[in-house]
Amino acid sequence: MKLPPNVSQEDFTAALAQFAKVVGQEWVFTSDEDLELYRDSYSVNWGETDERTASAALAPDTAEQVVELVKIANRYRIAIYPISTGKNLGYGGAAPALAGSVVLDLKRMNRIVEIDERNGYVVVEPGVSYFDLYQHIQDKGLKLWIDCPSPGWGSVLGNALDGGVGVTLAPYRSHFDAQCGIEVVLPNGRMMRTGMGAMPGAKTWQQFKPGFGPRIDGLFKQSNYGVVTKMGFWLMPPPENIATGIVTVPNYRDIIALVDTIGRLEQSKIVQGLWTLSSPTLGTRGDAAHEAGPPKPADPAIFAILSDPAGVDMAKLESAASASGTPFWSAEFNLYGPRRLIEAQWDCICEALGKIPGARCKLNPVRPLPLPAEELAGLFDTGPLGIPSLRTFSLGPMVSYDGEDVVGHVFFSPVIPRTGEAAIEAMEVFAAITRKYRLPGPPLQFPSAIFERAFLFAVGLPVTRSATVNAKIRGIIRELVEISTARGWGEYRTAPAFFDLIMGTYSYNDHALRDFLETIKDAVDPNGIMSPGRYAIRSGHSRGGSGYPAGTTDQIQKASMQ
Amino acid sequence: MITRRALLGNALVAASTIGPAGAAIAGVLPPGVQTHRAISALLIDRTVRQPRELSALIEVSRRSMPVVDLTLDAVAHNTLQQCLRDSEALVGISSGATLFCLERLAWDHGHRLTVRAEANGTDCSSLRKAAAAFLSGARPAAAPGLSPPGAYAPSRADGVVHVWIIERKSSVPSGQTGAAQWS
Ligand SMILES: Cc1cc2nc3c(=O)[nH]c(=O)nc-3n(C[C@H](O)[C@H](O)[C@H](O)COP(=O)(O)OP(=O)(O)OC[C@H]3O[C@@H](n4cnc5c(N)ncnc54)[C@H](O)[C@@H]3O)c2cc1C
Repeated sequence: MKLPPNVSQEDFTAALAQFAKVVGQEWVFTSDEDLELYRDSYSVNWGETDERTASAALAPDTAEQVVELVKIANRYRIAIYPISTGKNLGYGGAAPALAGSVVLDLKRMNRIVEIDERNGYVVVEPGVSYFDLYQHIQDKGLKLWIDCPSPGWGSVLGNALDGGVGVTLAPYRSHFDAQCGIEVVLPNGRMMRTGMGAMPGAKTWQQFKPGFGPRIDGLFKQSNYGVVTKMGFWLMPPPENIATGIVTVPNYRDIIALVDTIGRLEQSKIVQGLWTLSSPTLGTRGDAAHEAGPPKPADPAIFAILSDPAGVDMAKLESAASASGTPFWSAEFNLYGPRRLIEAQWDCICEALGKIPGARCKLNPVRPLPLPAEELAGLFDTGPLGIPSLRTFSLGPMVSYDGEDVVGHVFFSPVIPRTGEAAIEAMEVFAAITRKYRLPGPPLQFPSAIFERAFLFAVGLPVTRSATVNAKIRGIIRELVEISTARGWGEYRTAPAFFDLIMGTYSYNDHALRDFLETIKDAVDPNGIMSPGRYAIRSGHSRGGSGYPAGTTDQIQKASMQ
Repeated sequence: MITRRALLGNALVAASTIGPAGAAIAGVLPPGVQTHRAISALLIDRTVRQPRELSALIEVSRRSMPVVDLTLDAVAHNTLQQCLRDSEALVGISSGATLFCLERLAWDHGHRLTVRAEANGTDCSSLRKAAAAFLSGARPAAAPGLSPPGAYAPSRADGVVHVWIIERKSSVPSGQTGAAQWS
């Protein structure tokens, strides 16, 4: 039996017996077969000594049980690692950040505690998935829409806690920003509610985010300060209609005016739906995580230029595109709401973007929602329609890399300035890495406008079951991080294998941020039992008692290379 | 006496009210069909073209068990959840990508992938034999075409077709025992 770090067999056995008294023996998992399910299927350390595997898993059913489990864990100094649905593929799956932790699997806590159509919110427990919430809304015939990530099996709460994102309207896309009120079991076993929820009997917990005093909700995003047992989320009324509109511009560098102009439209809330950058010339759509298929270049001359092993010559590409009358860029808009609003939005979009020479605008028919079921069945991604699915798993180059079967992806997810210049720089820089390591994917990948004011440049790197190839991928990620950091681009989220590496890049004033987070950690979790190491936050004793073991970015990077 | 099979049939018919994937299920269970075979349903991945060799087998299976369309969307998901909740063992024919998702959904109901055979879409005669054996309730420990259950490429692009059994294991799973509840 695997043991949690620094815990004796005797203590572990005693603790497991006490855990079982709380949850019932059938909800304590220690067999290899059961623990296999808590491995990260997309681990870049699969089968290696430093793969992060659990020593046991517990599945409580209520917040009260969570309180008791946390107290026991404290008594025995056992590291616990809460997960909601544990489908965090690409960012760590169900595996703990620290090997040997006991996973607290909260899937059984799957109650929709409250849903309010009038005020547009829901309160969920951790085990409620996007599929569950969608189905509940359908069953009850509620006039509400959800914003979901590409995989619908994830937890509404777990996804938000990891900083996850969706694809509908801007105020709902950042799932943590859409939350309103957290109930959390702190590492000492004390239950706390944030915001208005701190007032017993409060009637506005899910209606007023700031609450009274400091707004601390953000402390529970990408951290390890407690087990979140409930969370409220703002939901949107279902839009009456949807329409897609496309604006094309002819030249490569037109992306600068395109991004600036759309940015102004977003800042003034005229553009609220997600827009996608794509290229008719390259045949590629913008958001690799959400869109399907290999590139389909329009023209053989263009294809030849794109296939040049030395890289794409943009000047040649531009003239080939212009000779074939193919615009270089397009921006695809999703527009929602009453017909009058969609048409008015579109007028504003065309008026603003029409100032770019050669721009062309086309609004597709305004479609009443919901779309007919037959039509939904044929769509690749139903996310923009507020409908969860798992179709994202049926695409992607899951074939082979370096002669090894690809079994998944690990995401490298830097945040890039929302300018055309930065987009060009990032595309070219990352394309060079793609070529250098012959990574699968289109010759140029584009940034995504999923965040409101910055670009996300999510790159899925192939994961295999070969330690050698995975080591190479870890090396490529380190190189990407180095390149990005040098340009001032930081990652928004990462898998546990890179927590230290990435946290090491947020090093302003000798790691003041990390030190602050760890000061809080020391105060709320002196025994360091709660998800130690998650997002590189540790309590004193696991830092070696005298500050961080690897004080410089360089050392941290070396540490995470092991 | 109501068999577990009939219960599953009822659950699937109930699920048919929710949409087109469900509707395809309604009526596939011929009235009065009862069987003591452990396999509760055949799941078919509609995102891949079924090999010719398997089509006839699927048609024949319709007479004796529910044949459930597997698409990775919200409508099918609801049906699938009921199916997993109410079944002891299921046979499926799918791409690796769909199997990857299904396997993980199945874990949450205490099921495990226990047997699998695969073939790349060109010669599926061995796959047909494996499927027929699986559907008859046989779980051969070793036979031509059998592959280690968990070691597959979770891909659709590779054109490989997988036939598999997932079944409830005696150990209690990590996952959910019911649908999201209302409290
Ligand atoms: C092909 C593909 C596409 C993807 N597309 C998207 C996308 O569009 N958007 C997106 O956001 N992600 C995406 N992902 C990443 C990921 O799959 C999802 O974010 C998924 O929702 C996360 O898993 P989960 O919801 O089960 O969360 P969990 O795995 O349950 O939680 C994530 C982490 O949060 C912490 N946590 C969870 N619950 C608690 C709790 N109750 N208390 C304290 N801490 C907790 C844990 O550290 C846990 O590891 C994609 C992945 C793949 C492979």
